[in-house]
Amino acid sequence: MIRHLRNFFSPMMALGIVLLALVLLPGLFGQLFTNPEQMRLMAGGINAAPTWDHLLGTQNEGRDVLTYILKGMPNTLLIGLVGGGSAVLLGTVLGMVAGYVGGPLDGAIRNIVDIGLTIPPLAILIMIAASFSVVLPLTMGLVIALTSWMHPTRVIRSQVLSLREREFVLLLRLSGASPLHIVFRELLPNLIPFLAATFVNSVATAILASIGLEVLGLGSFQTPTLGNLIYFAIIGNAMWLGLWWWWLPPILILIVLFMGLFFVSTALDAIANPRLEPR
Amino acid sequence: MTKETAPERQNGCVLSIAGLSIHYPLRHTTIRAVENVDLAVHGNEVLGLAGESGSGKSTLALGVLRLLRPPGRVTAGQIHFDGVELLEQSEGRFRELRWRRFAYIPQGSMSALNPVMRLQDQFSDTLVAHGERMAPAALRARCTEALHGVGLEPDILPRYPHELSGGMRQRICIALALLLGPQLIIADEPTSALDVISQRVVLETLAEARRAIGASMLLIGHDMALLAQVTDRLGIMYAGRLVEMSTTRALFANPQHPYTRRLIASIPDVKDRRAFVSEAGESEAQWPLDAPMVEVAAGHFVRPWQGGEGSSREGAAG
Amino acid sequence: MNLRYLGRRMATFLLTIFIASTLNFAITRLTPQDPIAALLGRMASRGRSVENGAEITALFRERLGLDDSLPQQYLNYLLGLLRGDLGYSLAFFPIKVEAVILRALPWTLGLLSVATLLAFTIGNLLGALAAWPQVPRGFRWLVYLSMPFSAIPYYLLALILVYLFALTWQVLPLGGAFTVGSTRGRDLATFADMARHATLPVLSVVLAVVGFWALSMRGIMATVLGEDYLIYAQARGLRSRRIFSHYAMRNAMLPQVTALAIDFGRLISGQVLVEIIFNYPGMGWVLYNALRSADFFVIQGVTLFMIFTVAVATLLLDLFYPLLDPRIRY
Repeated sequence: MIRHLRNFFSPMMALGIVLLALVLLPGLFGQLFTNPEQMRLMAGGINAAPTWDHLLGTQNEGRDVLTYILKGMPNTLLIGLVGGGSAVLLGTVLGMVAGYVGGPLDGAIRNIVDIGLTIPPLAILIMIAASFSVVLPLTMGLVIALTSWMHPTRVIRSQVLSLREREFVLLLRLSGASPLHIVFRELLPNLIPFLAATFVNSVATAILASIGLEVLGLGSFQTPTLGNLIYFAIIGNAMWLGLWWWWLPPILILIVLFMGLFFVSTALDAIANPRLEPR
Repeated sequence: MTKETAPERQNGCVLSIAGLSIHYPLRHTTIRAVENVDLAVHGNEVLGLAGESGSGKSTLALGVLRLLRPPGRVTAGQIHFDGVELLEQSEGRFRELRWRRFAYIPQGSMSALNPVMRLQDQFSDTLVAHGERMAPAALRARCTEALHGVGLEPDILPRYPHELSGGMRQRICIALALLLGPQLIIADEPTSALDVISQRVVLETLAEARRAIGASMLLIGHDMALLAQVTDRLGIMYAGRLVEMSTTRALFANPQHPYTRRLIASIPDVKDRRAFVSEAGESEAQWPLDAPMVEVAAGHFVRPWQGGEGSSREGAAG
Repeated sequence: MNLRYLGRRMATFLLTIFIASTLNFAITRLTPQDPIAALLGRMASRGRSVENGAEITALFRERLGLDDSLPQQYLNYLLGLLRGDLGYSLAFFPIKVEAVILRALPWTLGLLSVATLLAFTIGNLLGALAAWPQVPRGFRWLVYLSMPFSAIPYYLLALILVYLFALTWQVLPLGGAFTVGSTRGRDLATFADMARHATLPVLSVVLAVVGFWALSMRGIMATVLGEDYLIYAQARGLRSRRIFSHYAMRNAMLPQVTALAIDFGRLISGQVLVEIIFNYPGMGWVLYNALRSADFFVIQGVTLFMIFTVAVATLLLDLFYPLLDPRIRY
């Protein structure tokens, strides 16, 4: 057990967790300390540089940038969790069914996944977002999950395929255990490291996709998110006007977030596939 | 330093190994794959090395060839090859000697050839690496000659390895080993991956080709029946040490060490199907492995084991 | 290569295109928004007269075939696709969508192929060297350094690069594909100008993707290093450089080429966003403008183009793969 813990807390994992905490803590709790007044139009001057009253200045509508960021982070994280979580959930169920049941069902799922993987998700997302008004972060997350469940399905399917040939599964089958029992009570626990790594990857993918849509101007502008903040900064020529406090912070936060997710998923991968560990 | 206990005819000795140890230092322990081994291969002789997998015989071959993968390394001993101390050679000089003077036939011949390269290019690479860059016509003539030596036709040269059978691939490896006319061939279980019929054919090819160029051979294997047919002398390895070394004839006629007897007993006998059983009352842990070997008959050396004869004899240690 | 495989692969390709086109049609027709209404709204917001709005609507609807039944529209849409007819741009009405796309296409393909080729080559070389025993340890840090970059989305990296190189140090142009107002010919100056403009867009893609290739190459190389053919090549006295290039790299590249096919969708999506940030006159920029003017058929055309490009790229890679790996025979 202690050895497991030591394997779990590799330097890579520690670095990832620290980076994630840097984003998640203010992202989850920061809004408790915000003053709704600061989000109003003209809460401060227009495009004002940082002061003690407005730690990250204001943007071109006079809104306080720090408040906007603290309000926006939970939404961006929610999109990631909902999008990544739903994609992994869908992928796990489909992957397990395909891998364990096999036969024509597996063939069908595999073909759909293979075709789906060659269709760039952003292309479909653009069409959806341009045709419907996606308002809530929750809907945005679900829509993203619709275009990104294929990869988790593939990963889980191949894991189940290798697991089902293991001795203990054969023994269980011979002893007459029901397939549902085998799949969910016996196989699932073995998949946890893979699921964890896939989940972290999917969250990153979902956030990446949502930011992409928002930078294209396809986000819902009523909801503050980091992507929308970047979009408005581009539209408002923040960079050209030298308003670093407006465009730079959301980018830096996202970079720290993505690096954290990357390190955690790499560390989880190393736990799931021990032979990948460098000598 | 102990003197060589194995017979050492300085005259005509191609390869002589003295006190060779190869260790794999790991985090918590050190694996002693080869420990204090002495042996010699004479001119135009086939020396066999037998033992179960893990006995260190392949590691020994890789050590001589300087092909050990980290963390494995030679920790002690000398390797004399035709008057040159191999362990003292620079990487560049060693690269020139290897293959031109002593070649290697690998264990996993199935996967030894580069799967994405035509055979002719793998032949040409070997020649170029040793300064023999030649025109296409000359290259083809050279390859044809080498292939004929192992009973293959040159029309396979433009093919890829996966298009050949296992036996053919192994013969390609033999042809590659003979390409530069080495004095010594180190063959590591050259037939273990083949079916029984190919095994025989390939082994005969190898023996014939070796005779044709008059090279010596260090033949590593675990199949005592096959080794009995082609070797002149035979060494038995156990847990990284040599436990017995003699002419093949004497070793089979008068095996001494219990491990040797067990290996010989494991040969399936058509007339008398004995089960493979260890001799009663003998546990391997009791065999002492550090005592120096003793000569029980001319050229027949045995490592003493508990209760065995010769343990009180005067050893050759000094 | 046998015909059955070729037939099956082509069928998958056509099926992919068909499914994607159908999805595209379905999504746009399920929308509660009316593209014409959106257009009129935009015209109104620009202060143009919309007195004869009803007439304009009717005219557009007729020319765009929006009054036919849905199945009829779907059939017309598919037949149009077969002819390469993607409909009209709403924003520049009489101009066809395919004309808009064709004008942007060379810029996108040029940028995409240069960036992908550079990133793929550099990344694989870096990763392979990092795993090679004879390479000094310090070199490995290059790969570790490139790792964090692979976690950063292209467009965020692009924004930072614009800020540093174009605004702060002013060594490279802010955006565009060439200097506005310069005469463009087939000469070196034009080429140099275009290269200068392409540097930052290419750099942001390359920086972001190099680490990805390097990391996976390092992993594959670690496996290849233990292969028998590598030890056997070393035994035969081959020079280290020859073993590295023709034995190790040559084999380790095979899974990477397969990965390239899988990753193409991600590459083209990132490219679209990078073009927007650099005002690069490719597909991404066309898409961005179409989105801002609710130019429906252009949006549809660009997304179809993205899907089509990826499908073609995967098809080509699949067909050429046997040339790289002689063990694969279709």
